[in-house]
Amino acid sequence: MNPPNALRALALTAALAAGCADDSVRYPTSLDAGWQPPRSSRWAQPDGGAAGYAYVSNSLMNSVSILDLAARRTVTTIPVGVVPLAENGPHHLAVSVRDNALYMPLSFPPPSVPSGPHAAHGSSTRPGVLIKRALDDFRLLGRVDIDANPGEMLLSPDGRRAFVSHFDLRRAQAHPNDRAMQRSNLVVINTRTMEREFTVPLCVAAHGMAVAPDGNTVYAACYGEDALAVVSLAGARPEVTLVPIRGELAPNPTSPTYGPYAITAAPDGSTVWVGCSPPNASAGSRGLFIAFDTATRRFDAARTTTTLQGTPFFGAYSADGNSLVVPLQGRDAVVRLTAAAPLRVMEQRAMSADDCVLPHVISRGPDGLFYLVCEGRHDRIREEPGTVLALHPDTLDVVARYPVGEYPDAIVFSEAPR
Amino acid sequence: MRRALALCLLALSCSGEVRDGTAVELGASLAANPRVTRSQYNPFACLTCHAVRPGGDRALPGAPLQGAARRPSFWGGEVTHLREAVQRCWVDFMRGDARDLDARDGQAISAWLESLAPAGSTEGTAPVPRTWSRTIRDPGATGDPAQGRVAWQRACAYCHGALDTGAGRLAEFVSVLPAATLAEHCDDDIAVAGYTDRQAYIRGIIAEKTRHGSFLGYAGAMPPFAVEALSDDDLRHIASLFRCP
Repeated sequence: MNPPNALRALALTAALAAGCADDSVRYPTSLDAGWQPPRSSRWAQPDGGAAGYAYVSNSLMNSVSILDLAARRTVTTIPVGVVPLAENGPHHLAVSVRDNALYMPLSFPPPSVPSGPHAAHGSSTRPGVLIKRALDDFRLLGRVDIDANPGEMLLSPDGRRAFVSHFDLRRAQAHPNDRAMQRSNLVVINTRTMEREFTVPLCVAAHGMAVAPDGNTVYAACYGEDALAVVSLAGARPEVTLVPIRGELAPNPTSPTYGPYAITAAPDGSTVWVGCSPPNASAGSRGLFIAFDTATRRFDAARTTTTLQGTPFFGAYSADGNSLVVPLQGRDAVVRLTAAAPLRVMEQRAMSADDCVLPHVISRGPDGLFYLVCEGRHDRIREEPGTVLALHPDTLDVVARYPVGEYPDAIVFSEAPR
Repeated sequence: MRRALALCLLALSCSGEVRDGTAVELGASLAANPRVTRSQYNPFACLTCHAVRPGGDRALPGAPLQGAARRPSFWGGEVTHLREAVQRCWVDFMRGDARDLDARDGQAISAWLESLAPAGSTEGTAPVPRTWSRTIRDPGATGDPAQGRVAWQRACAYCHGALDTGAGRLAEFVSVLPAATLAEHCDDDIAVAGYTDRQAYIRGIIAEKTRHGSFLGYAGAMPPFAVEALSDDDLRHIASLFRCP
């Protein structure tokens, strides 16, 4: 869920809690006509392991779509929810082929309309759950409670830890005069035991994250504070430093100026790019895109722009490390930028509605292609399944198209990119 | 899952604690015993909500168990593993500890379920449709109380006992209806839920509890009745039995 949508949902929920239920407001799935969850055949991993597969979370379908990259087809869609009947809200995901494991935080978003007269009395903020499923047959291997509204989730390079940020706007609104209480936690999970290792107070509405190649530093975009959090895990206890994007932390965390939301990390760990989604953005607005030098721990004024034609989301580096490709929303497009200073737009490709609605994340696959997750339409007017596009790394031409479920949010691969 | 069940059986056989045939027999007896989860607040056994085979007079929220061990999915497609499907019942309704499913009693139930899906038989192995609408509306004021009492006997009486008195209900702490619902909800501020008609509100409460059970904002341990298990017509008739003074 992108920030403006999240704020709208939050406002709507608050209105409903105040007794303003509106029958015309539709639950954000096709459930009014009776929910039809994916009825897939049981996924059985073929001999040869998980090589060449991609996994895509479908956040409005409680499921994961599995793509066969060699055959260029969507193999199947597997349900992953653990709470019956409910919108489980799987957003981000990570896989560890070595450990035969898939990890997903489930966010349990509040319904936009009450599910019935009793539930209208007030819905609590439900804690999220991080689940661990076997990659070969998706059986449930473990689960652990995390905080409400989990945001992004990443594994450490050795796979032993899972890091979960929490994009908790409700918490920010609930404690307007207490910055410490507004801040959400970074939860660090031991993936073997599926128990919390650390709960680290981080910043207001943290979302996108990156992990340094040595696993000792985590970076998180702090939407409510106009800052990047740098978390050192090298000592006995995690240490958090907030680096403001410009000048100072946002004075009002519920209405930040920049709204840092997405992260794109250089594979060598030298740079963390922050994509901002201003909360007051309208279609066509331009978000700040800025580089953070991890060596100097400063934002790089020579690598910043506010002139992109849309809001920058989660991008990926080219194989040679000289450029990065970033999806833009507002005016849906994909843009290629220089990785080194001075920051320059090398190429921009507009996405028609036939190609890609709401490009959200680009990831470089094991076959060298870029994989672009297109959310598809998921507003009050209609909901349509999303799409994953395979883009040629040089031309950004569409070379393959994969149908996935409703509101796809993230993609990961069974092999490292090359 | 079949491999896992076979391993369970093997483990039971090799341990010397319970032999293969005994595991199935033990599982069959445990499936009818609410004490299997060791919770003093659990009135349910597997066979409270599931029939072994399709048919019978009762309207049951759970799918028939014959063939279940070899079904590709459960809970209307929400789950693809029998172990996970069973765990939902075990934890959410039966107040059990999920770890017990990996102990002797849980393995015996697995063995019994496996015995109901013998190799070569396809009976009961297809997914059982279950549809739960997440949004509940007033089922309407046209329900017939006489038909409601008939539907009550099929769907509600086994757990809640006789209408008005609760005689024969599953446990002392199971609600006596309709009195408990009316006492709890007839004084609600119905505007909060967007209602102006109190009787419509109560019908909505009944529909919500019946369709969602203990999920989606309603507490308790009642299993949800999908539309395939209890028709909208039957629900409308049952709701007509609940009226605020």
